[in-house]
Amino acid sequence: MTARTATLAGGAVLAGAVALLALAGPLLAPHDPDAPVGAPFAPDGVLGTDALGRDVLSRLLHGGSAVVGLSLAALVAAEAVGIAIGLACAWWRGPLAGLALRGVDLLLAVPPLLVLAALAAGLGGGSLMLVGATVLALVPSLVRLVYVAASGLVAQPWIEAALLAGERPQALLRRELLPNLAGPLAADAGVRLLGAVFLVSSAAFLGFGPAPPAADWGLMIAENVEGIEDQPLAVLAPAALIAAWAIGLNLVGDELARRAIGR
Amino acid sequence: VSVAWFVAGRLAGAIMVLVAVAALVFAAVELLPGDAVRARLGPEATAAQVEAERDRLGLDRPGAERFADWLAGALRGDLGISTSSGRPVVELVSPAATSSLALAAAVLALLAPLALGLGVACGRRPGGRLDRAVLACSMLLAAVPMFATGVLLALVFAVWLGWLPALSLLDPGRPALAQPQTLVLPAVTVVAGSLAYAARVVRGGAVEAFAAPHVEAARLRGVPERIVVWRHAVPGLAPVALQALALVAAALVTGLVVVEVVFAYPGLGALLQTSVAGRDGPVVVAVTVLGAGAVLLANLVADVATRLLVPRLRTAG
Repeated sequence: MTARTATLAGGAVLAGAVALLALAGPLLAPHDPDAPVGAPFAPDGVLGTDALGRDVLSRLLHGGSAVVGLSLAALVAAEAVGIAIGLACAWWRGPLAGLALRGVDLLLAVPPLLVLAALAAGLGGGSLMLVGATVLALVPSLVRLVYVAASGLVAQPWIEAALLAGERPQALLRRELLPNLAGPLAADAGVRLLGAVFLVSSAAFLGFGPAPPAADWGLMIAENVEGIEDQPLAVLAPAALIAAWAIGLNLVGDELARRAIGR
Repeated sequence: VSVAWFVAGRLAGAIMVLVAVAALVFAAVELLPGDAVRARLGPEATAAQVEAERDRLGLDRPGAERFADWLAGALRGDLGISTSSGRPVVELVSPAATSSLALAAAVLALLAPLALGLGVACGRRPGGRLDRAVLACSMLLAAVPMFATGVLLALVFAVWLGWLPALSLLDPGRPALAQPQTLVLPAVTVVAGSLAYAARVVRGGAVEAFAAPHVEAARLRGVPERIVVWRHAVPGLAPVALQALALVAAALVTGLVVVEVVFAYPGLGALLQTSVAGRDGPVVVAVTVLGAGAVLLANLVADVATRLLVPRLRTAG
């Protein structure tokens, strides 16, 4: 039990530290993240300079908003959309719900990174596209999860009793069904956020997300990989931060999931 | 007869899904108002030039008509013309697909025995020391995005130790499988990222297989443990192993895209990246549909093989 609690605390501290760094980083940066301060791949400053001679530490402190912020934003949006669609499909069965579930199955058949690539080719890159594509990647399996869990609840006799007693369906959904789904949804949120982090950081690395002058951890790895021999820190530092954020989330998510199943 | 009908039904279903996916991808790439022509021609192009290019590519026709044309062409093996290079898409995609298949084969050749071996070893004693160690390691490995793993491996093995090339500079004149040194780091990266999940699925099946009554009966009869494992328990794992393959297929496709870019391996993933950057719609559509098709195919093969391997399912109408 104590080992479990330690895992949870360790994960929370790790993820919290990275999130804090991403949030408060821009205030602490010693240099302008976009202005050259020296020669390319030089060991100046704490972490040296990058491919264009910009300060790696400053870019690191400015570059967490996509991996931390966009993935969290995408998770929140996806939970709202996924829960709404999943509940609606479970409650109002019928042709429209069937069609929605078909669409969900279709999206589940395509690897999310490919959906993201198609959208990036059609719309061009950018943060809004990245969040939209990540939501699109997270929603289908979430709809399935909510639909299956809620379908079991909708069939319960107490639902029928409440309806006969004159409860309005909307109120019933919000006050009775949703709290019952909170456990499985909380257990799933950690893993889902991890999926969002993978997608957002991979997209940034591939150049589908934030456009080049922007400071971004994923993009920094791609930009500085050519100088890895002289200046490994320019690649290792952002990679370590992404990994720390992902590992922290994974530890917290795994432990929350275990508690929710009650093991 | 029932098996043939089952296969035909699944195949028809998969083809329908693939066409629907192609329509979705086509709509995302070609019909969204992202103004790819303007982006490609650059800010200096006049409005008249943009209009002429749109005319030349037939972009002002209705979307459904253009998709129907694309689909008819695809069925004849014509995937259109790349807008950035002017060459037929097929000419760009087929050598890249061959390279990607070689890499995928290397990944599967490593992943399948490792996932099966680890899964069985852990499933024999659930909660044992090995099981817990593998679980902890796999959680760490699975939590690091593949591009980060790839960069780290390149740094250690190519830059610091100098054992392997950091970039997969394939000699285009020779088949990729004849140049195995370029395959090692990309393949190991994908395996490191997907082994945890695959082994966990196999482990789940192995726990059940070792608890099965016929395995217990064999042990009670005094059959040697080696034979219990390999003759009694493991053969029953084939369907689980196939399901594991189907489950990791999407992750493998994603992983291949990422590592091909990390190691500059000239496959479909690297082609996809440069095509997205160049707003080359026809190439993006072709590669995306091929990737989705590969995942569908893996699921189809797993479903059909499971049906053939499990006698109970084979005879159940």
